[in-house]
Formats: sequence, structure tokens, C-alpha cells
Amino acid sequence: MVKEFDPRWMYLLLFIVVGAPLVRPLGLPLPITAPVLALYDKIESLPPGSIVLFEYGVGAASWPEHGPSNIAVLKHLLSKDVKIILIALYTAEGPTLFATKIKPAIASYLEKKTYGVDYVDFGYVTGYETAMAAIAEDMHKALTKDVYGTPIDQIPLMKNVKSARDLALVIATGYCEPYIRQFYTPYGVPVAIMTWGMNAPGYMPYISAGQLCGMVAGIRAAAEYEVLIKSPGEASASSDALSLSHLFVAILIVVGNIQYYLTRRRGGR
Amino acid sequence: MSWARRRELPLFLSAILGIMAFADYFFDIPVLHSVVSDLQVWIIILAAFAMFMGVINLTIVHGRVVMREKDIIRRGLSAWTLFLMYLMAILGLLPPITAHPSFRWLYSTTVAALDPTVYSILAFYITSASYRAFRARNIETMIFLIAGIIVILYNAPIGGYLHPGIVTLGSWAMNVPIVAGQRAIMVGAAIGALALAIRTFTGRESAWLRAGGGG
Repeated sequence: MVKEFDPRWMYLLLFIVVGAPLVRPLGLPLPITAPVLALYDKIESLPPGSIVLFEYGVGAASWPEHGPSNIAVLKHLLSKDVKIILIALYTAEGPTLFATKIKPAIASYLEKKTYGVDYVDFGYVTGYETAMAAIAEDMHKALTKDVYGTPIDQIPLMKNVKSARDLALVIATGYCEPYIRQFYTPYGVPVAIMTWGMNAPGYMPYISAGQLCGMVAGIRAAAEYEVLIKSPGEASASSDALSLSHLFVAILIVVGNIQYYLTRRRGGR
Repeated sequence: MSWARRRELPLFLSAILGIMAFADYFFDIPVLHSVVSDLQVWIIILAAFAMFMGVINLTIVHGRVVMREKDIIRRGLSAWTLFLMYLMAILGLLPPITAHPSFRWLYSTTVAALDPTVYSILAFYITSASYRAFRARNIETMIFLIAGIIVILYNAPIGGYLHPGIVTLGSWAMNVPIVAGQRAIMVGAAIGALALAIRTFTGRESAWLRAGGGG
């Protein structure tokens, strides 16, 4: 019987593997993947004055996965001549995290824009997919006031925006299927998603079918987006830690299997 | 009011409203469109009420524990849960709503710090599991493991640095076998969802009428 490692050693090694590159970055190259580049190109190709619905339903638990991508994509949008409708549909935590973490990170970009004219924030709206359907159908009926209590009819940006037909792009956080069902399929509005890294393989069919026009999945993809917009942030800083932790897991799988093979050869289980 | 307790009423309502929403998605009928559009707005309001119901439910459940439970630790934890829930609610309602400095401070120092911490503990479990559980016991699991390792390394920036083939293989795995497998799962799930919808519309699926009940 080959003796197994004490898991506490693995935990310590993982701690070092994740922590060391945060203290001393390795600066490993970061190739840009196709779904990330597709979203970047989509935003670059938007005509001036286009309306983009940006769903920032970030939760505190998923902040490391969703936060940096939200910040990077918003920075890109704010650097372009597009109008942004901000909303949180996925979680009620969205507005608080937007105010405490996203807004300070994009403050310099927001300064150049006028609230109500270039962007508007509707905060959290309950109902998730049903709310999406209602918003896509008639925004003035489903969203009566913005986050500051201003009636929608008094917001200059919303004067010419009535339904999903007026949108050029929907960028959402979390799961992509509801947005495809409520924006892409009935109205043909392109949809892009900022999601967890583990969702990337599951969402590839939507990318290949053209139902998703782009995807930023996890912190690695967020780091790629930061490279594209030339604005390194939280994701770029943790890119090396991500690399080494993934490599560490892959090595452990191999070591575990070598031990398993040796144990079986010696007649153990 | 005995008719209100009958299960036929919610079954009938769900069938009618479900069929209306279903039909509105596929057909352009202005009257139906207007009704379904109103229903969608109602659901947004109902969902907001559901959150309020959640507060009442938590108060009843934990209030009962605080009043009746003999175990001092369980009583204390329930009391703490109630205290924090109402503290967050009260601070959140201070003007400007959810933007009051005390609410933001409490959120940033507790929820925003603890949630990712708990989530990140998963990394230690995954590390341990990768060593102890992922065993190539036969050819199928060996293929699964090799594909898994390639995708893991493809998803990490270091993959391409170690060997350019990892990027090629990982990209192929993501775009060909994974897409094919996922499509099969999606189509299967969609057909299942359709069957469930038909069962619900026709009143054959009524598990949702009984809290925690089956079949």
C-alpha cells in the first residue's frame, strides 16, 4: 500500500501556490480566447448612440468571478459613444456591490458621462426571467422609476427607448439561457454573458450557434478583457495565481493516479 | 370559502395562464399580448411580495426556535439570525435606501467579505478531491481524466506556455466534443421541459401544489 499524502500538506501547498504569485507576479503571457475577443469586437462595432442593456447582478460570493469582468466590460462601454441602461436582475445584492465596488472602479469613466443622458440605473428588479420578458416587451411599463426615484418618462435616455427592439446589445451576468429566450429569440437582440468559469464549456453551443455574441467566463476571461482594453485590474493581478493553482490541481490528479496504479500493482485497492 | 381550498382552482389557473403565456411567445395576437404583458408586470410585483414572505417565514421559523428550543446554542444562533436580518433590513431602509453609510459599511465588512471566503474554501476541497477521487479505474475514466486535465490547463493561461498543443487540443475539445455533448443534453432537457409543461397545463403534474410533497 502506497502511503497517501496528508491533505493538510496539500492545503498548505495550495495556499503557497495561490499566494506567492499574488505577492510576486510571474507575468505569464495571456492568450486571448475567441468568445472574449468576440464581445470586444461586438462593442467596438456598435454604431454611435447605440443602446446597451447591462445587467450587473453580481453577488458577493461570486464577486471574484463576475466582478472584474463587469468592471472591464463597463470600462469598455463607457469609453465608447454608447448609451447604457444598467439593471440588476440576477440578485438583489447587485446594486450594493455596484455602488461599493464597481462604481469606484469606473469613477473616472463615469465622470465623462451624464447620468440620465448617457447612462441610467434601474437598480434591482424582482422576477428574473418574467421581469426580463416584461422589460423586453415594454420598458416604460415594467420599469417605472430609476434607482433614484426619477420617473422613467423624465429620463432623457429613456425617451426613445421603449422595448427590446431599441436595444443594440444585452450584456448580462450569470446564466445566459433566460436572456437568449427573452431577448435574442423573440427580438433578435445580440446577447453576451459574463459568467462563472465553470459555465464556459456548457455555453459553447450557444456561441457556436450565434445565440451568444460573446462570453467572459471567469477570472481568466476577465483578465483577457483587461488586456484587450489595456486597463489591468483585479483579474490580471490574479491571473498567475489562477495558472499555478490549475497546474497544481492537474499535477495532483496525475500523482494521485500514479499512486493508485502502484497500489493496485501491489495488490491493494 | 371551501372552493378556494380546492386544488382544481390553482390547477385551472396555472393551465389557463400557462397556455396564454405559451401562446403569446409563438403567436402575434394583440389582445393576448396585452393580457400577458400585464401578467408579466404582476409577477414582478408578486416576486417582490415573495421576498417579504421570506422575511415573515424566517421570523416564524427562527422565532419558534428562540421561544421553544432547549438547546442554548440553537436558540442563540436563531436569535442572531433574526437580529442580523432585521438590522440589515432597518439599515437598508434608512434614506437613501440601501445607500446609507451604515448599511454599506455592514454589507462591505460582513457579507462582501464572508461570502467569497466561504466560496473560496471550495478550492481546498477540489484540491483534495483531485488527488483522492479522480482515479483512472478503466479506459472510460482515463479518457475523461486526460480530457479534464487538458481542459484545466487550457483554461489556465499557463497551459499554452507549457505546450502549444494544449491550446490546440483544449480549443478542439471545447468546440467539438463538448459542444456536441452539451447540445444533446440541451435538446433532451428542452423536450423534458416541454413534457413537464404539457403535464402541468393538463393538471397531471400537481406536486407544486403541496409544499415539499412529491408526485
